[in-house]
Amino acid sequence: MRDNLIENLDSMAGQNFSNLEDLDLGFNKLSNSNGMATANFDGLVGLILEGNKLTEFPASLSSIPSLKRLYLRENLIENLDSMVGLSFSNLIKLEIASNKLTNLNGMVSANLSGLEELDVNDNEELHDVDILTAAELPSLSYFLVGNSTMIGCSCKGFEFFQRFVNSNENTCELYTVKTDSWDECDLSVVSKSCSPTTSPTPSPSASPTTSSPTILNEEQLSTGAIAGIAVGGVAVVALGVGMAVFMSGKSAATAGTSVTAKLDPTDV
Amino acid sequence: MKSIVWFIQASAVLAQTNAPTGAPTVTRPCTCANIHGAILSCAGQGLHSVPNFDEWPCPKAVKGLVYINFQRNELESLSFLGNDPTLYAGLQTMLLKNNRIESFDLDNFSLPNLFELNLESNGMKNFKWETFGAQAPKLQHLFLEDNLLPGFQGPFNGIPGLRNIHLQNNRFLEFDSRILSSLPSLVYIDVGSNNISQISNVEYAASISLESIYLGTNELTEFPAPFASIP
Repeated sequence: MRDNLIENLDSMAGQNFSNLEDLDLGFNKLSNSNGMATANFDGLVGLILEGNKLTEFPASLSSIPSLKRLYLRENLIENLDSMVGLSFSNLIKLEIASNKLTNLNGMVSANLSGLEELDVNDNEELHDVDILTAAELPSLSYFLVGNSTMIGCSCKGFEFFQRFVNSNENTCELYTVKTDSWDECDLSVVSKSCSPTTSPTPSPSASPTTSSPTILNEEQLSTGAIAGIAVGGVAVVALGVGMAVFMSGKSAATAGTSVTAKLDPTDV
Repeated sequence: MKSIVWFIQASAVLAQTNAPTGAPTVTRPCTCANIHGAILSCAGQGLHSVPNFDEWPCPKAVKGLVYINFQRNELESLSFLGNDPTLYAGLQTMLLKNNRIESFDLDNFSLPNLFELNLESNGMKNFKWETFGAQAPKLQHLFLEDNLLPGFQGPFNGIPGLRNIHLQNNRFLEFDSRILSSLPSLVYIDVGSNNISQISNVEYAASISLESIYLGTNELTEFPAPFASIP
């Protein structure tokens, strides 16, 4: 149903959609998902609501125990307060990039124990991401976050990443990354918080000499904005507007690739 | 497995290209092969019509084609099928993508073993659905995307074995759900990128096998709930 003119889901109310496994309602004109609350989606595994006008996280989705993948990018969601106290324990992938999020507080008291991939990139006013710890997201292996407000010059976001790294007992091969806001970051501090597996010093060389980082999606790759990649069980990828962190061996194994990036010193 | 493959240069008959007068005519080889049945591939030859089999550069021993590939030619009709019914009656795959077949009508011809039919990108405006199912009862894959079809015109008596149908990027204004009741084996249907603003006759829709339906990039203004809840 992608790219139609649907404004609401009222027609869903009370209906049985238990045979549906994947539903794509992306790029419609939805301002809420109220109609889903009383419908039966017991078999739904993937739901795409990206590119709509949702202003809050659709809390009613917690009643869909089968839901594993939820795509909410490019909406108008300001916070995740509606998640408070709810369980999304089977959710594996959650994309809330390109919204209006200012914080992730609502996730703290939600059950997201199965979440492996979280994308909150490109929420310009997002801050205090470090309120989340590995305790809240014990399965997280991929976290895409980053914008100038959050990272700032304190590298606070980066410390957050390292906590996850340490919790999974992974090592970290860290090279510097380039974003618009990293000029004032104390990269030496960042480096000390990692346990480099190889050289802790960025190699002043050319662009990535690498097999493709297949875990990145096509959109990310097509931006051509990748400034640096470092993988050794852990990958740090800097994009033009954000940063992706792959924190467990699982992600690296999924990618099935070994990636090495060398940065030009002028990038730092 | 024994495979006998002949590569034979196309005769002048095949070289009816649109080359400007005086320009050298380019001919490319058609391929005749015998792999689990006879296949004939003559894609991109600028063909405006398909000559009688006797004029083909294939050995006359080739009888009973199971596969033809006439993609990227200038064919305007399927009349060639009637030229040599014995030759084409056993067809399993017929690839006619990128021709100029504006109207599809098998007429009195039957393709009892046809499994796959590709008619993408023909500028097709008419498809005679009424008798098609009876004429091609074993059809499983039908590719009709990128045409000018306005919908399921006229009576539709179903295609019993059809599993996949591609109708994206046509000119459908509505989707008549009754079509699903006539396609009991349907697994996949794509009617995306049309101009569908209405899904009609939902109450008559039924499908016991449908797994995926694509309605993206249309003009629907509400979620077709009864339709999506078809068991």
